[in-house]
Amino acid sequence: MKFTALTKWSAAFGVAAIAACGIAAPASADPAFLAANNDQGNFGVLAGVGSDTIQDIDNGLQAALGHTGAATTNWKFASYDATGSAWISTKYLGDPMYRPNGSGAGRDVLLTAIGYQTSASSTTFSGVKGTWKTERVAGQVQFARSSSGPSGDNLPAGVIAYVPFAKDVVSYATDASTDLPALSVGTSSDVADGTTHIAPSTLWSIYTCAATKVVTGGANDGALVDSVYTAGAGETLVPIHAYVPQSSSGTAGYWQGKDSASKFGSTLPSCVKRAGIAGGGHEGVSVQEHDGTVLEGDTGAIMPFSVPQWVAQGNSAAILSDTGVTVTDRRHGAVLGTLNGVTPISGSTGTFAMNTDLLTDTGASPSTGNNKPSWLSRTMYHLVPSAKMDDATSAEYAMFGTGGLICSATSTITKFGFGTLSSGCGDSSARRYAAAASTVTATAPRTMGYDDDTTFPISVSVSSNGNQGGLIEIEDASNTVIVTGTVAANTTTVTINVPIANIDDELEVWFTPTLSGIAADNAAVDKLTSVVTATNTGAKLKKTGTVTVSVRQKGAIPTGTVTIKDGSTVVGTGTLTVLSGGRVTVTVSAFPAKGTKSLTVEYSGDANYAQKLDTTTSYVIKK
Amino acid sequence: MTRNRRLKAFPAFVLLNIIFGTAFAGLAVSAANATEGDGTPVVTETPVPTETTAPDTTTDGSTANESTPVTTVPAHPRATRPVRSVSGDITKNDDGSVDVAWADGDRDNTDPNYDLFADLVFHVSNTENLSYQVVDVTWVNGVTSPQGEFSRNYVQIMQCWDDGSGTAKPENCQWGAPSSALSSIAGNNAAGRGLIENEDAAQSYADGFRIPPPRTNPNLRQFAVPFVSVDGKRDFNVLSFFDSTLTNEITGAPTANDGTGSQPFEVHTSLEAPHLGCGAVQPGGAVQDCWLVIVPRGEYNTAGIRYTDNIGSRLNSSPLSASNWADRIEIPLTFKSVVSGCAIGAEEQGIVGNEIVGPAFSSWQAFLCRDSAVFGFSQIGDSEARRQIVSELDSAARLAIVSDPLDDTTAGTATLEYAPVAQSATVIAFNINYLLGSNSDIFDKNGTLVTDLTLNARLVAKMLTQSYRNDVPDGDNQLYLRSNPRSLNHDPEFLALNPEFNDFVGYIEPAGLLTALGNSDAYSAVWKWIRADEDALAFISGTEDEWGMKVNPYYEALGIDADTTLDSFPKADQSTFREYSYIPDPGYSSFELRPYVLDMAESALKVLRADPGSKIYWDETRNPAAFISQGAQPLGRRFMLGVTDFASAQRLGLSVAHLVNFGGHAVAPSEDSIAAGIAEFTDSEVSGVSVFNPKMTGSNSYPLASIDYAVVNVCAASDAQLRDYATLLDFVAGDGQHIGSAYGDLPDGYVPLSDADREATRAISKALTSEVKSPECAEHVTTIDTTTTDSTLLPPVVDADGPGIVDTPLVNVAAGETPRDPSSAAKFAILSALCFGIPSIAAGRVLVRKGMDLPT
Repeated sequence: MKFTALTKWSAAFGVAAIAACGIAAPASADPAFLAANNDQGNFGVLAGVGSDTIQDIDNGLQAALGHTGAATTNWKFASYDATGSAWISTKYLGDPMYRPNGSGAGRDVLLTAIGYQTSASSTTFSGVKGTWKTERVAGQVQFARSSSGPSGDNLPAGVIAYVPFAKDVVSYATDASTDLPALSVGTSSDVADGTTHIAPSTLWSIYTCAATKVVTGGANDGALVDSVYTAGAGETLVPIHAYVPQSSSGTAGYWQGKDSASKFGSTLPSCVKRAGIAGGGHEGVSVQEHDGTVLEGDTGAIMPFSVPQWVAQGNSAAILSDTGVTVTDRRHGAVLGTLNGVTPISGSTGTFAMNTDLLTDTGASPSTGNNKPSWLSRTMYHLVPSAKMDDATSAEYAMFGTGGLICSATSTITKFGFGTLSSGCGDSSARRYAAAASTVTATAPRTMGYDDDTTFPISVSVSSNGNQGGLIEIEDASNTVIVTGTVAANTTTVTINVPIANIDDELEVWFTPTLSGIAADNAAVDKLTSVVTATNTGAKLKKTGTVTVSVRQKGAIPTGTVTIKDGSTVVGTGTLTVLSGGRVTVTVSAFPAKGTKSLTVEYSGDANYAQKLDTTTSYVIKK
Repeated sequence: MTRNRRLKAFPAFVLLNIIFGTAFAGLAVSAANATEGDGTPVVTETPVPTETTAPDTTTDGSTANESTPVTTVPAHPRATRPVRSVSGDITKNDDGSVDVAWADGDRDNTDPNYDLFADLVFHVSNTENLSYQVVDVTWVNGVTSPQGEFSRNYVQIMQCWDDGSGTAKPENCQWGAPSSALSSIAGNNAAGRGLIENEDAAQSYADGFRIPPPRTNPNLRQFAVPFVSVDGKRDFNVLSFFDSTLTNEITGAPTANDGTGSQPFEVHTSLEAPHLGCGAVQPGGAVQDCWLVIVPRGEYNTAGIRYTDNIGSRLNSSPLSASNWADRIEIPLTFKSVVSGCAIGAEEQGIVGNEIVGPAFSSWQAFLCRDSAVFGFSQIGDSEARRQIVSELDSAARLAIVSDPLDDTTAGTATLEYAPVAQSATVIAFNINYLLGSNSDIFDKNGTLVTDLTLNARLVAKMLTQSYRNDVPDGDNQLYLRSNPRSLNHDPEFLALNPEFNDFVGYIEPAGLLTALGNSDAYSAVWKWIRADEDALAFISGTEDEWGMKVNPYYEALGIDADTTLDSFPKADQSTFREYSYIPDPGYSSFELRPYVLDMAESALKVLRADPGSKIYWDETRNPAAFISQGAQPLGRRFMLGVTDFASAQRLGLSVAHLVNFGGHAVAPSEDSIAAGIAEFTDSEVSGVSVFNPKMTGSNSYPLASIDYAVVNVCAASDAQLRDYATLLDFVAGDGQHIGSAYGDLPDGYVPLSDADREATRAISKALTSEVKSPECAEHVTTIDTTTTDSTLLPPVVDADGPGIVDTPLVNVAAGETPRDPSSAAKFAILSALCFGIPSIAAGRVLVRKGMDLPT
């Protein structure tokens, strides 16, 4: 089914079009479909997409912050899950779009929506390759969820601000009856001892394959050992199965194997797997983020697990009844171990909370260098266009800014297991992505000679990513704005009528695009040049003859003088007036000697037209 | 077609394409070098600001500069620089190095970071008369940095131009374009120039620091330190001047467990960084000076907040912000003038040759062009150079600088003279951090640089034949490698020679051994050395070593054990790997995992920057999706090795490996050991020319020493060529053998010729001059060169064309305009790339299935 056809339909039939086009959606119409996965029957003032790690808490915030008015009005804050149906629609009568899955996809769709780039593509949760284009998504997405921080260096003039609002800690999870001991973070120098073959009980030992087995029973019960260690009396060796989630997961990239920013190294060592290892009971099962399936029943299995996710999943029944938000409990019995001696959670089912000691390293032992729980903490961000964060009157500023609605919703943040930011919540100084360029040109054809003209038109033509139009300002030489106009969305031209008094001014046109990811552009308004042609009407013998000159330009009547030259000698002149309609017959007083000659016809130009030379006229003079 | 033949056909195809590709690469390099003075140690026509328009030093074609030259370069007053800089007394040592103690400066002892910096003493290896080179910055009494991130207690280093005000200014510093890998482990703004309003009481936030709000966001209130170039251009966005691949800024350098730190710093002249202009000649004749600025970072922000209280628990704020800037140490840097006095557009005498002589020739050429002849050098490799001087092309050079003499077939009937010109060596440079297990006895060295490494022929052969598992795509799962160690540092043979590596953590691995494209006698020597070694020869023939390691069968199939003509480094393993189903077939190949570098000079640079350029990470979010590089190896976890020439390694301050010679001695390259190696060279069939001996036995003979000869095709050369060649050889035999860094000197890494060799070269020079005066070659005798004023009666000559037919005068074809047009470089580069690209694409696609056919 062609996407363009959809557009025409949805404008007229709204959401029914989505059901009609037969995509992965229940046959029933909109509210039920849209209500699934927290796509609300009404839409949101601010709509956002992106990370799955924070989709639950954002759903909670959406419920907590509520509608702008009655339940039938827009949500103040509308968050669309990363997982779920292939399509979403974020605005009333808006175009449906593919559902972005993950921090990276959310960021790219937001960048596309603000015109920083013209399109984005990535694989959706359902496996389909989604594409988004600026002209389709402009205005449909106001923010993105990101569990990864900004990369590269800060660009103060960047068009996207990374606005922090919560903290999480990625710790480790094991099966409830695990044989693994309590672990610390460790250091990159953790290795098995050369004599005893026992490695420190740390995440580094496991995720660098320094330790590949754990001892049960006997004198070294609970010790992590390497492959050389031989079991002593009463000891059994249980193989360690170290997992990371499949590679499109933000948590996987954060933990290990993506790049030099990955905590445990940029490459996956041979003992770390992304799918169930043989002998663990889940062979071949792809490891999903914050999903304990692959740990179930395997006493040697371990994987990274976001503590807030565990908390939210543990509180899922209470969350559902309190807020209506569904958090799928996919722990499958997995538990979080102590990290550097700190218990990661407090409370019990329904009242779990993350232990903020993990963020402050209170009571952690050891707590040196990077060997402490806070090393595994992450900041959670909302990506918001910078122009909105700088505008104190905008809905975005009220929502995401310091002291705004999100930063004030601390109980919701805690209920979903995240830590709050004491200072820095809502700070919008971390910015990235330089604005994309736009272009503008303008020409001024004018009608002349009619005394009752009060304006003259300037044709403006613009180009920008997605061509969503913008503001046009015509300024004079002292940068005073004379007239403004707008280029409508999905058009690229507009004609601006400027007062006739300015007809002689050097004018400048400025284009300020609607989309905040695109920079403004300016240009001088071009005066049109004229076309000059001359014809020879019967050059005859001797010395005189006439040349008819016409000066043509669409829509205006030129005035001025016409000069005919032989080399540098002037051989005839004529005058154009408004009444001449652009034509004049010039008598050439002294034709040159016989032969073929080239004469130059010059038009002086006038206030509207530039001077023009036409040297293509040649004459055959016969004697 | 049998399996083996198919396997053999492909590598031959690859080699053929490598040959063509090299030829084009050589032409591209020569065309590019003829126009650009891009600072890499490949010989160029040294660019000079004597153009008709502005004194613009930006003739290197760097894209960081726009095309409109600035019409006036403000001359900066050279203030009498006080010996006491604002940041403390600078103690000069006899070897040219300097020391500065941080506490000597005007310091505020109420600064919360004061105690962390109070004992710091910095040492810089060289600060005067600099050209493009690496200086070492070391320090003691620092606080140990955390591993893996720049959250606190580290050092930042940058280079700034001197505006004569007596101190370094933040606006003038090359800072703010970090690699994303480094900036992602530093705190907010710590790697850049951004400022946050009111974060620093000492910093101004006036309009000069405010980023002009654009029309699209009039509410913007962001601040940064703008960059001002030496010619007065000012911009908040540094990318128009430099980016992360061009900058030399050190975003962070760690302090080791023992409180010491060491960081090599690449010094940029105006050729590498025209916006700094260091070493450029100002109007008025003075040479532009610059500053080395070191900013130590402690644990407290500019507002006195401890780093643990920041988002991400890292120190934030730019080193350019006033309070951080006040903690700096600034050291004056003086430069050799980059101007050599050679005018672009002069007619030049073309010389061809190999890469080893490149840095030396560059230096000689820059000196000679002032008063003597102007030479252009095309680095086309030994084989091509040998062929060219006997070719029929009118425009061919007739002097080539190569290692091995021409064989009889190539030489034909040409009259060739050989003059020794330069002695150097091929080396294996390395950049390796100690990454030790916590139970190591030498744990204090953790994070510091390894200084000694020993490799024997078999180990080098193992790396060159992709026999380690991590040098092959999906190597862990390739059956034919299953009995091989994962990498060099897991190989018992390596550990026996380098026992400290037993203490390394298991997961650290080298990124292969960097090798360059192309053919050369130097590479041929490496293979000769390998084949001469009994163990190495057995290995490449297919015999297991004593630990069960076997050569990669793709290389065994190449027959390198018997191929005495092999003079390049093929990449023959055709395995490909794609990790996930969304990566399109076939995934990445050996060429992405272990890419070639362009030449030996680039190899040295990549070793320095610890960036092997391997592109194996599939980025779905790119448009179009592609394999991308993961960037340089992180600081503290570097393990790089590369084949390069000694001069390049010395210039960049790289450590070089001891290699084991035929006699079983592990020898590092040095003037003495290279000379000892050359002393063991054997006579070739050409008298006066000795050639590489792979079987050196001396206890101090470096096994990969090399000697370059200038071979002149006397009779095919014109008189003008002969005169110029004579000038060149005479200079080379004399002042050209003086080791130093001035133009005309022999750079560090070469060994001056012996007296006997110099005499031999002078004799050749005289012979060439006398050939002009009293020619003996048939080609020279019958020329009707009317400029000859010599009235000596010419002896009667039997004219080969028959009596009465006058030979046309030899056209003076060697001279040519210094080409300005870089498009030929691009054209050849494209051809070169195609020659390499096509076989690798072909290999990947066509031969995936063939990969399955391998003998197991």
